[in-house]
Amino acid sequence: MGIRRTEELILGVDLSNPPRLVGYSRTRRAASWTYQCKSAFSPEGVATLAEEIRHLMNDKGQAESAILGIPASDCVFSLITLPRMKPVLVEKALRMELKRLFPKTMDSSVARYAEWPSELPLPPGQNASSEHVSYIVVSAQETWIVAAEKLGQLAKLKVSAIDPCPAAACRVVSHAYSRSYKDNFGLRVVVVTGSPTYISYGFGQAIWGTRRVAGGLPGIDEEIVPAEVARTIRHVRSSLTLEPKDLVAILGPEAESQRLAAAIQGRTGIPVTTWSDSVSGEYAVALGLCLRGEDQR
Amino acid sequence: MSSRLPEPDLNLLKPNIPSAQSVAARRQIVVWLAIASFSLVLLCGGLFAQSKVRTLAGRLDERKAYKESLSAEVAAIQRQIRGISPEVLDARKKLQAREQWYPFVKKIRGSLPTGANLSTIWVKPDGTVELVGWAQEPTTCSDYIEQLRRDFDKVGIRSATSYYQDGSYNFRILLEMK
Repeated sequence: MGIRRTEELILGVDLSNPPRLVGYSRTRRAASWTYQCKSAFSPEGVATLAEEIRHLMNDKGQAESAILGIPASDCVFSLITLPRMKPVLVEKALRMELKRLFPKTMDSSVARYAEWPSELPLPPGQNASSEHVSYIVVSAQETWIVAAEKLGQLAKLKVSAIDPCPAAACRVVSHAYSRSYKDNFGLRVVVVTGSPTYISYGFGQAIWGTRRVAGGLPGIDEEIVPAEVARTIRHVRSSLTLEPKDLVAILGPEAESQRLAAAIQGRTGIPVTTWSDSVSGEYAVALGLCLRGEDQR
Repeated sequence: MSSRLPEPDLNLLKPNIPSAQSVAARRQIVVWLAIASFSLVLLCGGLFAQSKVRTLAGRLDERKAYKESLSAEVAAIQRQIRGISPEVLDARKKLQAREQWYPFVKKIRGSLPTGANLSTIWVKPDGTVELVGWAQEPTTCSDYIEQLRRDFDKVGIRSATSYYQDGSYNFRILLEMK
């Protein structure tokens, strides 16, 4: 069923294969529809996927804007602290630092940085002082960004942003649990199941980092993921005194999420929440993409 | 009041750190633009110089035309000169070929015998020289003519007249350059 034209429709496209789409009505503040693509996303060729999305959008009605999500496995998060300096020098310093961290890939990568909110804690090893500024930096291979832009053009989408999927995962969890967790100062660990399964962690919508932890294998993941979650929390707590507001949220298919939730809770003792929303857990990241900029509204 | 913090903007559609390859490509474009700009400046300079050269060539042509008109005037004057009688031209040539006038006149005065005086030495346009003077004795005039013949081998005496007036013998001698 097509959406009413008067509604402002936002399209979130999670490009983690298989690509998943969510049509989100800003008027109603709810997801209108979900769709899982048959074609896969690959930087080598986006024409088939673009054609499929174009047909879908002809059916559903054109979106006001679209946000594309770069898969977690194809972007890297870094928190880098620098002495306070001019913006031009910041860019140069960050480029050098990224080149040092990723010597093989940085030449062909693009990066976006933003100042880390001074109210939020910093990871161990980062200098926290008035003379230093910390930056959250996300970098991705330029070929992926170019392919995503091309997909948007071919599918006739009004692409307003290309977001890293882990940021969208943290965002949707922050939105979903803002009532039960009144502030953003508690640690959030978001487990996104799939192939690969990855953990993103941070404070509210501000993401500290993300890493791939398993390959989406039942049985094996239930051993590895809880251990990684416990390690992540230990790592954060090693330098911080956190209130017991920590939250572990799992995004993914329900049955898998339930199994993982039990395993993580048993291992860490921290409350673990599984996704329960009008859209299924595997579309949560795409929904998170749609929620981009909701804070500013 | 909401305690929600604004989310850091991580939109990779607008990366604020471009890839080194993009930077290199952009630098290449800048280099090409610089080369193109330089070529354009050179081209404009060339065109300007060409227009200047054309202007100068135009002025040169004007000068040339002016020179040609002057040459025509000169030729007209030369034709006029050719129209002057051959005697005059010949006399002029002879005069031009002669030694300086001062020594000549000095020599004419030097040849004057005692008792004779010269009142006029008149070089005429036809190349002849007229000497006018007077003497106390009638023979003095003929002595002077003889002396001139001896002193000037390149001077011929075309005519000589003498007459008595107011107590002295006046003479008029017409010399001709050979």
